[in-house]
Amino acid sequence: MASLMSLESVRVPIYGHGFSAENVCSQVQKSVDSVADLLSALREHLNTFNRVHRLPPELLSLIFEMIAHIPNRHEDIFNFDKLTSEEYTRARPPSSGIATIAHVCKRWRAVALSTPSLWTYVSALPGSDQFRAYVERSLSLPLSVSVGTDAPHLQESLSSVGPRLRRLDLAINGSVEDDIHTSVLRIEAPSVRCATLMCSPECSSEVLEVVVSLEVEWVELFGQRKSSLEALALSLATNWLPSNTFTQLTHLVLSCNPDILSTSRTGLLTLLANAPRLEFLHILRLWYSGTDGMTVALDHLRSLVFDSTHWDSVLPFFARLLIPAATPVAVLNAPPMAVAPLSPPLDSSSSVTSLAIYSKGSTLQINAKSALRDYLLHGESDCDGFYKFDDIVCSLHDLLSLSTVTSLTLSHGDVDVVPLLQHFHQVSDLELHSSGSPHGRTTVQEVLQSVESDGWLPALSSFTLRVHGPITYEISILGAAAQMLRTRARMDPGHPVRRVVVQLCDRARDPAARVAYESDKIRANFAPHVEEFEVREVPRPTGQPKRWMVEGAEKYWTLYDRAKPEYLGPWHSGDSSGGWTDGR
Amino acid sequence: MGDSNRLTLVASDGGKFVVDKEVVQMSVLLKNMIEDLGETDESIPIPNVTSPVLTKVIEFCENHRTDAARTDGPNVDGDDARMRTAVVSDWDRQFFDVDQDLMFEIIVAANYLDIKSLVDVGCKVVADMIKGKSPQEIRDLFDIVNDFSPEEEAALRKENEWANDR
Repeated sequence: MASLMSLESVRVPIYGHGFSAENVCSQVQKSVDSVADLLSALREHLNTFNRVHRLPPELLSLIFEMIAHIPNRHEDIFNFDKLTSEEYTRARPPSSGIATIAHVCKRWRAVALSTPSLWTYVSALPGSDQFRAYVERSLSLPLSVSVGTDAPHLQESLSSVGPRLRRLDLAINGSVEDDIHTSVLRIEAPSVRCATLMCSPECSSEVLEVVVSLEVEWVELFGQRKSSLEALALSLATNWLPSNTFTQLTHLVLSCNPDILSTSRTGLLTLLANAPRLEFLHILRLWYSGTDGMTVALDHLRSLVFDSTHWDSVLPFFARLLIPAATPVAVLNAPPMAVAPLSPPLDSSSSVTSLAIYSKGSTLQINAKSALRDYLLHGESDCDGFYKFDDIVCSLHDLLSLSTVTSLTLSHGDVDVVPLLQHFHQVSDLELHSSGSPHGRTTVQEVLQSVESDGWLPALSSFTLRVHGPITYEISILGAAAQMLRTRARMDPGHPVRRVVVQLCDRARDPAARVAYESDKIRANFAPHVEEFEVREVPRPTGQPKRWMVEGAEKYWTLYDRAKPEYLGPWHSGDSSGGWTDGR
Repeated sequence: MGDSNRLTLVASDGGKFVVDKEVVQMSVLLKNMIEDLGETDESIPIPNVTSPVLTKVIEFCENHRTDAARTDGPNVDGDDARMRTAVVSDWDRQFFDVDQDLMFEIIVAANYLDIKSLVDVGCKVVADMIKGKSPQEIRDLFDIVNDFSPEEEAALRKENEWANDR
């Protein structure tokens, strides 16, 4: 009834006093608007009977939060040098669900607008309607902002939200001579916890020409002498470094520019000295030389990663760090040094006793283990010849002290490891894997022949040989192994191998009688030369391979796959990690 | 004298349910009531919940009785812990494979009884139904009528342009 009365009220008197076409049109338009409003009100009323509207606002709000879940990690901070600033700032996209939710009906919009947490991630042009709307709708909640320095009104907009800023993902663009970068970074943000400050590729390329001679400019980030940051990612394409004391910083990513020597040579150590609580340190493209300089104690460090850094820089820089004995160290896509090292090897504080070299396709992985610490070398070959596997392996004694290794695993595929064997004086356990490829068989044979005739691995007492195919395919390797065992048993003085295990991989589908026949055949050739002999079948491992990752490393950003490589461990029954820890 | 480990719940339509105390105590509301009442044989009325809904709520609690420790566990990262703990298992999905009326009634009942895990799972199921859909698809899903006025529609169209502003 009320509706009908309302309809009466919008009837238009066409022939009344003061008639004019303009008046009528205006009246009609008003009526149309009134009807539209009335319809809207009626539909809103209709919606109140809808089953979904039985949910009280607080539950609807919880559902919306689940839909518009705001990412608390940046997905792509390690690819900033390949991304434009726009791509970088978009790499933490808010869920498009927020807009969808607020456009369904009046009630949902009202609930969405009164749920401030939905609007706390701002990835919009500073000063735009969207930026302002998000800032307003999020009320006083902490904000996470993702922008580029080329945005207009940047400093003004960021300053206005500075007190609420919890996270800033900033893509730095433009000329290095602009002071916009450092002035933006000086905005007062007393509660900021995470900042990723990345130079875009266009900025970096410009910098190459002009910054080499500049001194370090020390910038007090976010107007704080004592920083509230817990996580900081910096690409140092410019010559500035933060001068704050980082008493709460646990996560630090530094991407250096080798052409900006001032920051790399001295500035980084000063920066690290100001971050004594650091737990995760990830350094890319470091350039560092010299054997002097300050020593920095990082007593809480749980993970150290060098990426795309020459060993010439890794070793002297690592020598300046005092880190806990058990902290794992990863060296990724790092080319070996051209000249003999002046700095001690990575494992000078606790020598490596176990070493495993794996090569699979275009990947080389070397796992080393001392009594306390794990080391990982991992790299992908590239078409430029930047990362040559043979060079890496032959130079390994520059990086690690191989003379203390007692356990050696070689699953080296096509890589030539023979020149390395002369450095192993204490290897007592050797595990050798055939890759199954013709060239891989040749490299395994070369190792066996070298161990037989060159006298390498004088302390060898236990030998495990892993073969993949039927013995007719592996006959050359088995023959070379039997010959090696025979020769060493007959040497004067003798270097007999005491124990031998031959592992037959993935033979589950072969007839049992055939496997048994092959086992007997192998036994007949090997057993006479050793004290203990065993043939063992090794099944194909199941489950996902482990990755090199220390728990907590991805709290603020997602590591790219190269930074958390999969273990190329051997096939161990029930242990796909190959017995190597995952650094936890 | 009845079993001291069990008690009787009475739904709004008079339906009676004898349930283990351990199961009932997943509801913070009922747990507090039991603590206030002490040892008693009295039935507990649940005036806002009908028998069919209470049957489902009890079924959920029976199935999740051992999960209590998990849901009370430490926060992983704090701010979004609730979103993360709302893990929907296959069993949960099957549990909520009911008509929408019953689904929303279960969630509302869980909210009234203060059973956090059921509220979270129910809300997550609804959230998953909504995710990836356009406003019109959501309206179709829940029979919601577009009740925005022309002026409001104009404002929404402006918001839609935000995505293209950057």
